[in-house]
Amino acid sequence: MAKNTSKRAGRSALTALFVAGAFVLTMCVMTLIGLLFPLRPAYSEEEKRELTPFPAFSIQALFSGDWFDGISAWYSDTFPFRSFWVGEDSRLKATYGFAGQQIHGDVQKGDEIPDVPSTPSKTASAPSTVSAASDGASQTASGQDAASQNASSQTASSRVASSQTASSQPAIPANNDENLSAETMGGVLVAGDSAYEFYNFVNATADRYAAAVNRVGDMLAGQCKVYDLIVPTSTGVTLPDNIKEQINSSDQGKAINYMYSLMNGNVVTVDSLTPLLAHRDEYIYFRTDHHWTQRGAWYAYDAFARAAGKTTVPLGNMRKQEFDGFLGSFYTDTGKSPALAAHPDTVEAYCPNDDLHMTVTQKDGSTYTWPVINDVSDYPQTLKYGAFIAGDNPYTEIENRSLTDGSACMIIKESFGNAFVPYLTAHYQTVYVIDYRYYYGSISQLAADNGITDVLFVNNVSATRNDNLVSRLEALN
Amino acid sequence: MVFSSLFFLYLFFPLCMLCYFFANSIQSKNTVFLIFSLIFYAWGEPKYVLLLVFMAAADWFLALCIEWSRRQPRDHGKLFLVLACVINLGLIGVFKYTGLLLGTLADLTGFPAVVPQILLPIGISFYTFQLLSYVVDVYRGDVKAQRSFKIVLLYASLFHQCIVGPIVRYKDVERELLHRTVNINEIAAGATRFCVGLAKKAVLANMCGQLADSLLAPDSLAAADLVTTLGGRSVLSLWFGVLAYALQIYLDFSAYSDMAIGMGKMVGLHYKENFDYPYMSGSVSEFWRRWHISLGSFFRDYVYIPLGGSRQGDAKTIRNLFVVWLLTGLWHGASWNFVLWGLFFFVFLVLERKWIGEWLKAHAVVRHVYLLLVVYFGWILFKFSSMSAVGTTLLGMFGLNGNAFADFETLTILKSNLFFIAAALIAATPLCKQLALRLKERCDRQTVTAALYGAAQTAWPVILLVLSTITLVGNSYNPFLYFQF
Repeated sequence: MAKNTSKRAGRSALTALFVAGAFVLTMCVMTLIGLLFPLRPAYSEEEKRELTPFPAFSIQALFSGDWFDGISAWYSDTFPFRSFWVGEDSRLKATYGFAGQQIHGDVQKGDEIPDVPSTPSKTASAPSTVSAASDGASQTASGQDAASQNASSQTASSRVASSQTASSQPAIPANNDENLSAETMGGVLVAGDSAYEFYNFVNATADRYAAAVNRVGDMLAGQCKVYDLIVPTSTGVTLPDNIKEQINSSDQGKAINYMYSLMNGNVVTVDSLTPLLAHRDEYIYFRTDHHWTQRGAWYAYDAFARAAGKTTVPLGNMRKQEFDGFLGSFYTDTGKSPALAAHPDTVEAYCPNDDLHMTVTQKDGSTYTWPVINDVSDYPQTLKYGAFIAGDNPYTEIENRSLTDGSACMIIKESFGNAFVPYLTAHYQTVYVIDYRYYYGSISQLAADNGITDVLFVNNVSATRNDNLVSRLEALN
Repeated sequence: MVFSSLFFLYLFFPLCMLCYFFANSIQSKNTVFLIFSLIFYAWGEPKYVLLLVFMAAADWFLALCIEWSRRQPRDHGKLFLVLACVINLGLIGVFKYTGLLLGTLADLTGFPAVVPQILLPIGISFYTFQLLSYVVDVYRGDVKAQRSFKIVLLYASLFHQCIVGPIVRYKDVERELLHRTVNINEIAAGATRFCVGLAKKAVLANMCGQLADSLLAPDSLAAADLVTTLGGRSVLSLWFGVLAYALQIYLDFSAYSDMAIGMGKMVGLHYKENFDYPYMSGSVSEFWRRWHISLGSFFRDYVYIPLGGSRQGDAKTIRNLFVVWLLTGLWHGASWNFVLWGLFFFVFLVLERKWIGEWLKAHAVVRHVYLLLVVYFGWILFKFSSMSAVGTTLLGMFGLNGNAFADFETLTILKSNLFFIAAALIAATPLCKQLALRLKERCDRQTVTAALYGAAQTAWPVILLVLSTITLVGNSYNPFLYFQF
């Protein structure tokens, strides 16, 4: 009996030794990993943000405690192998419940969308071939949003720079426009292998958006024809109806109609929702990224071409390239959702066969030439939307040397426009691309100087609820 | 600095323990602890570390005065005690309650026009109470005054418990501050406890907090938006939101105590338990004997009993209870909702004492459900400082905001976190602990199974540590901050 007891005591002391040893060892290993300063990342590609830098020292910061706080923040934000830990965190959270659908971030309820008086619509009507699509789906089309788009393509361009400096490309700085303050967007819903972003209609901002477009229409009246094309996001189009009916996301069709109803006679509105809905079974939106695919952009282009009296160039007449392994903004937004990671997107890019020359002007004013569709096979997996027109840049000119008629148009866009722009080159000798978020020049001057006849706004519906972006549109002159 | 930051975990704490290990005498070990503790405190509050040192110095000096006075022909001990109370309570009053007092005054009378915003020194509610208990205990003769200022300062500032408790009594640690030994069994138990606490905080409590934010409303919302948001939440969302919040509060708070107790054990300091599975209680009075025990016993020993406790008739008992619960509420925060929350418990304590206590004892299931409901609704008062938010939540829980019973978002969130919620619920019960004990008994019968159990025991803290690290790095993952759309 006594022998047994002492044996047990010995055993428990031995176990304790192991327990304490394993604990101390783990702590030491983790501490050493934490001390591997050279391995600390400064930038997170997936999150598209600079990680917290080591704080600058100042007496003030020392006494206020900010310097110490900064050190703690730096230490955890740049912990070595960050990407690995984050991925494991996502895998852990995937075990928290039944897979299938998940919501990331907080969902905000949208404003009530005012009813539009049933006056005859000025909206360029969709071709009758797709009208079959308005089978009720368009009635319930609810919205969502889209958000970080250009962040991805922007960093795409900075990546291009870093990976291509050898080939005499100018360094392209990362775009960190201080004027566009940090903005937390709404929640993201993961359903199966696809993600969708919630869209909450904001009445006041929608009103301001319509007024901003009207103002440009008035400003350029007599000089240019102004078109407005609001792009729905995937929640309003490809999200299955049974989910769409239930979620707390504003109706995008209703929201777009409302904004169109506010536009005056100097603006021609283009309905892209109807054709997109008609083709909702096709690959028109990415599943892991909030953008549309270039195929999706084609249906909107088709609607625009009809409204502008042009002959649409079919996709089949263009050169197709595919870049697989794309895990876009939704993948990042959801903290690397394993459900999304299992089925990456493929970027299908269509390039017109004409002789195109693109000149990109960066934020710092420097310029470089770049292919309209770039090979993004070697880009990081989150940045492949950067294939189109070199990502987001303040100002870009594309010349079609196959044309000599002097025709010119201007497109005012955020990143949804990137996939759209290549199609315009078939109809205009020069396409002037303005990313209104970063462009501070005068568009009326630009239009006058270059004989621009058509001005097209391509804005995704999520942008129309964003205070910062609408403020930038209001500043256009 | 908080225990659940990577900086603490993988730099501060290991460095401190390394220095501690190489310090060869108890004096130098204490010096190591003191230096690290002051750094720990200064990390969040560089200026207020002076306040902490000043308060410790004042109480150290006054305790010596009390003892000195006792040996004099005329004992002025009481004078020094009153002075200590004035200093301690005065400072906590100025730093913690000025805003509330003047704000309320401004609301009522329009004066003063500008209410000064005073930054609350971290942990002031905890270390003030520790120092106060020390002086009172010296006055009562329960403990001798400590001659060394270093020891008193160490007692007040020791980073294990300075910021979020437990509120350690000097008489409980006096001996161990000066002489302590430690054996391998305690180091192992301390390490395990530390990791359990860390995981409770990093893996469970943080996620519960996120769920509460999603199901109720994020703390960052402005008051007006808060009511609108809550008004739109479904019935199910509100019920589960409050549940997630109730779990968060318990797991978070008890996790800090676990970590403190664990770190203490690793070096031979024994702090008393601070939580004893409070949600398993069968009455409000039992709940408060098992929830934040060190605070409850502080008010019992230094307020309730000195006021006469329950021995001077019903009227005085009720008065004493009222005072204690008023103070308990106020202690939790400088806002009237905390006062209401304290008085909410006072009402049930009186009910139990006078009428339903005996009946509850006889009905095991009912009394448990009753306690859970009381505490559950109490947390709504605790969560929202605005009464309109409290009202909206309560109405919404019964579908009286015109809100749906359930909606897609709520169901999606619940489905994708079902196992997690179950795990968090289990973590609030002693189930795992009991299972582990039973398993150990079984396993101990044979060498092979005992070895297996030992291996599991060894792996457990490591697994928890790694899981915590994963979630802590994951939490700093912030792709939602779109710097540009």
